[in-house]
Amino acid sequence: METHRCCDFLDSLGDYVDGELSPALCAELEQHMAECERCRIVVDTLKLTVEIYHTPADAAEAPPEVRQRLFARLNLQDYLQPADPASTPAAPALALRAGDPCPHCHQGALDYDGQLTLKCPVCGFAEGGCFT
Amino acid sequence: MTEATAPQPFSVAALLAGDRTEFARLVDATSGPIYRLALRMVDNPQDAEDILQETYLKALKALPGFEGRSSLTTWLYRIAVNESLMHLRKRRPDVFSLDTSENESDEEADEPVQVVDWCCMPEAELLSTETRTFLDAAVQQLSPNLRVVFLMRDIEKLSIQETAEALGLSEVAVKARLLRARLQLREQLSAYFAERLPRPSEVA
Repeated sequence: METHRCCDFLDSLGDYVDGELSPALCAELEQHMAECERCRIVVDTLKLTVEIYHTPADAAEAPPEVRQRLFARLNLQDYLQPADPASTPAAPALALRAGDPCPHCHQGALDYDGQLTLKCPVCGFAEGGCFT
Repeated sequence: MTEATAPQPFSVAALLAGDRTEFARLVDATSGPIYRLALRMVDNPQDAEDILQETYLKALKALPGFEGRSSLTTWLYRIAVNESLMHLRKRRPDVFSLDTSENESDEEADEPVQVVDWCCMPEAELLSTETRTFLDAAVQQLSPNLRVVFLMRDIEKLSIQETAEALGLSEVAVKARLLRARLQLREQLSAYFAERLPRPSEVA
């Protein structure tokens, strides 16, 4: 085992893993790896170590209650948005109004039924009002 | 098609003028990563939350002195890192500073010792919950000086330059610490996976 040469390569490994090693050094290192099983394994497992850690595991946001207390501490309560935009509907449904096409059957036009409920005359879909 | 993928850079002028909307946008965009970094630095949710709040309070106070030599985000990281290190020092006063070129004598310890080829490990095992727990614990084993570099670069994906700016280190120093951190983690993971490798051919 060419221990001395192996050590020489140690300093270059960071750049190698990040793909930033100069082509000349890179070729030299790969040549060495082809001949030295030990270095091949060290480099491969080093790469894999970094890759595993690159696989995201955490939520992008702080926990909701931590966010809430942070915003409160900074007097930003009124700016607090839902923590994870992905968990809220992509296109929040707008409030329905009389005359809108029925969101259920897309046939009828919604109209009030006399009890503040928007109703579709075609499929009977109902929204809002006092009794829903 | 929205342009939500290309976030606007934060306006220091607006922040200085007391624009709360802009401040809220900054906090909203950065609090997740800052909390995550703090949590992994101090390994304690309560301390991490304190650090998170302190970071923005200090940033507000220090903003007039912000010189724009780094991005605002990098600057926030810097404050958060300093807060984290302060917490650690309070907890374990026996230690370290970021500036010293630490433990040169340690250098030998980074020679690879574990030479087990675990690249063939099934992906399900590599990414299992149990492995995740081990990965987090392994990061906690790194010295704070190595840990912070590893977290910023390999977990938060900051560039070498940003990491260097946030830590007040040279890029060469960042690269050296990053490599040491990665090598130490590789050792730990190798030992961990060596025990889990399938052994089709036991020596008869």
